[in-house]
Amino acid sequence: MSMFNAGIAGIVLLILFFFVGMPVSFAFALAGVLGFFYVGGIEGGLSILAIETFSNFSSYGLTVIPMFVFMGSLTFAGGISAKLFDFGFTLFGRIRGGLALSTVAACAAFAAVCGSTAATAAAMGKVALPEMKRYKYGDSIATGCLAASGSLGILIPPSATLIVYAMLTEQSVGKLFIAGVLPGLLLAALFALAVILWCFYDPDIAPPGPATSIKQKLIAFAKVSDTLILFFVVMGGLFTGWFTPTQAGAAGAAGALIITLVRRKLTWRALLEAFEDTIKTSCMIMVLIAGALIFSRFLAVTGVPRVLSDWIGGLPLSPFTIMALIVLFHFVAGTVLDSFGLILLTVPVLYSTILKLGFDPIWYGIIIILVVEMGVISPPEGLNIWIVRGLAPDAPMQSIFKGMIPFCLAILVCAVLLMIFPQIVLFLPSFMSY
Amino acid sequence: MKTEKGSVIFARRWGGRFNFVAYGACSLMLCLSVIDILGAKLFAWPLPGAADVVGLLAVLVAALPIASTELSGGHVRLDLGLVYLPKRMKAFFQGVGNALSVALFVLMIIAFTKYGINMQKTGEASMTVAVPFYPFVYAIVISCLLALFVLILELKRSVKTEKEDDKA
Repeated sequence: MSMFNAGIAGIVLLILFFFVGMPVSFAFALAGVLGFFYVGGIEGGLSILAIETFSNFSSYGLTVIPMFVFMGSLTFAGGISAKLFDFGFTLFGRIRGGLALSTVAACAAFAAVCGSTAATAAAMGKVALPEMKRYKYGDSIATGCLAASGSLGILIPPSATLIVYAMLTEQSVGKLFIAGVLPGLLLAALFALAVILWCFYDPDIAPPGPATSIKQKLIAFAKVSDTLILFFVVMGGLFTGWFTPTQAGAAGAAGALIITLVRRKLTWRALLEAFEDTIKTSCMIMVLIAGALIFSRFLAVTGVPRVLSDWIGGLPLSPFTIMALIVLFHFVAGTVLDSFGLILLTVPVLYSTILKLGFDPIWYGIIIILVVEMGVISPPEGLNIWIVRGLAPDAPMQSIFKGMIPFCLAILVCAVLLMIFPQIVLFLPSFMSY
Repeated sequence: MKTEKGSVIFARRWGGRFNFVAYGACSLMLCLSVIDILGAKLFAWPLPGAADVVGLLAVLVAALPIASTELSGGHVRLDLGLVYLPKRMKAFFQGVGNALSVALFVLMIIAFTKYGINMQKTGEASMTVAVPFYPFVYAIVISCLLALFVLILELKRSVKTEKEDDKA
C-alpha cells in the first residue's frame, strides 16, 4: 500500500472508530498510532505515542487551557449571570423585545469571561427564561435567542475552540483571541437585529417591560463593573503583549477568584465544583489535542494534506469559490457533528489547502469556528437546544426549532460578511506586535 | 452484580483521589503563574523556571482526571448514527468501541512505561530548574491504569447488555 493510500485508510479507520462510539480523542490517538505502526513499525509507533502525548501535555502553550477554564468556572460560581442580565434589563427592558436583547447582551458579556457555550446558555437561561415567561414572551423567541446567544461563547474570547484551533495550526492563541472580538460583537449585533426584526413583524411575541431610572441603570452597572474590568484587563494585556496567553489566563483566574471572594460567593463547595469542572474540561480538551496531533502527524507523513491541496488548487475554481464550498461543507457537517470533533477532523486535512490558496490562517479559523457554531443551535445534535429544552420543559420542540431559524440566518449573514470583509477579523490582530 | 458495583465504587474513589492531586496541580499552576507575572511586571524578576514547572504540572491536570472524566461521560463522542440502531446492535458496536479504547490504553501503558524508564535512565530534566521528567511520565502510566480499569468495566457492561438482549 502506498503512503497516500495508508493515509486514506487511516481516515476511514478514524471514521469507523467514531461510528462505534469511541471518544473522539481516543479514536484520533488509536488511528494515528495504528498508522505509525504501519509506517514505522511497532516500536516507532509506541515511541511517537509517548513522546507526542508527553510533549503536548507538558507544553507551556497548552497551560492556557486550565487557566482560562478556571477563570470561567469561578465566574460561573460567582453568579455574575444574574447581574449581567439585570444590567441588560435596565438598558433595554422597556422596549419591545427588550428582554431578548438583554439576553443577547448579557450572554455576550458572560461569554467574554466564561468561554463555554453550555455554561453560558445554562447560567443565562436560569435567569432569563423565567423573566421572559413573566413578561409573556413567545416560547420560540425566548428559547431561540437564549440558545443562540449562548453559542457566542465559541467565538468571543476566551474560547476553548479557538485554543484547539491554535494548537492544531501552531497559530498564536493571543492573536486568535483578539481576532474573535470584532466578529463576536458583530454576531451579537446581528442576533440583536434578528430580535428587532422579529418583533417588528410579530409585535405580540415580545411585549415591552417597565422603564427603569438612571439610578437603577447605574446601580446595575456598578454590580457588573468588576467583571467587565477583569475582561478588559485580561484581553487588553493580551492585545498589548503585556501578558502571554497563559499569564492572561492566570491573571483572569486570580481576578475571578478575588471577585468571587469579595462578593462572598466562594464557598468550599463552589470552589471544589470550579476545580472539578476545570480539571475535567481541561483533561477532555488536552487529551483531544494530543490525540488529534498524533493523527495529524501521521497524515502529514503520508502526504494526504499535500496531495489534497494540490488537487483542490488545480481545480478550475476561484479560491473564493473553493472557500465558499469549504464553508458550506462545515455548515452542513456542523449540524450533525460536534464542533470540536469537526474542527479536529477537518483542520489537519484542509489546513495546507487553505495556506496554498493564500488565505490567512487566523481568518480561516474564525470563519470555520463561526460556521460550526451553528451546529450548537441546530437539530439534531445542537447542545444548546437540549440545555434550553431542559430549562424550559413546557416549550414545544417545534417552537424551539422555529426559534433557531432567525439566529441561524444571522450566523450565515455574519459568515458572508466576514468572507467579503476579512478586515473585520484581521483588523485588531494587525496591531499586535508578537 | 455486587462485584461490578464494588468495582465502580473503587474506580470512583481512586478517580476522586487523582482529581484531588489535579486540583493541587491546578492551584500550584495558578500561584506560580501569578507570582511570575507580579515578579516580572513589578520587580523585573520573573520566577526562574516558572514556565517549565507550570508545563509539567499541566501533565498532572491533563492526565490524572482521564478516568473520572470517562466515568462522568466527559470525553467528547461523535454520534454518526449509532443511536438509531436497534438496541442489540448498538450494544455490539459500543462493545467494539470499548474494546478498541481498552487496546489503546494497553498500548499507552506500554509506551509510557518504556518512555519513563528511558527518561529515568538518561536523567532527562527540565532546562532551567532541572525537574526530572520521569515522575510525570509515571503519573501518566498510573492514570492510564485507572482509565484502563474503567474502560474494562464499560466493556463488561456492554457485553452484559448484549447478552441480556440475546436472552430477551
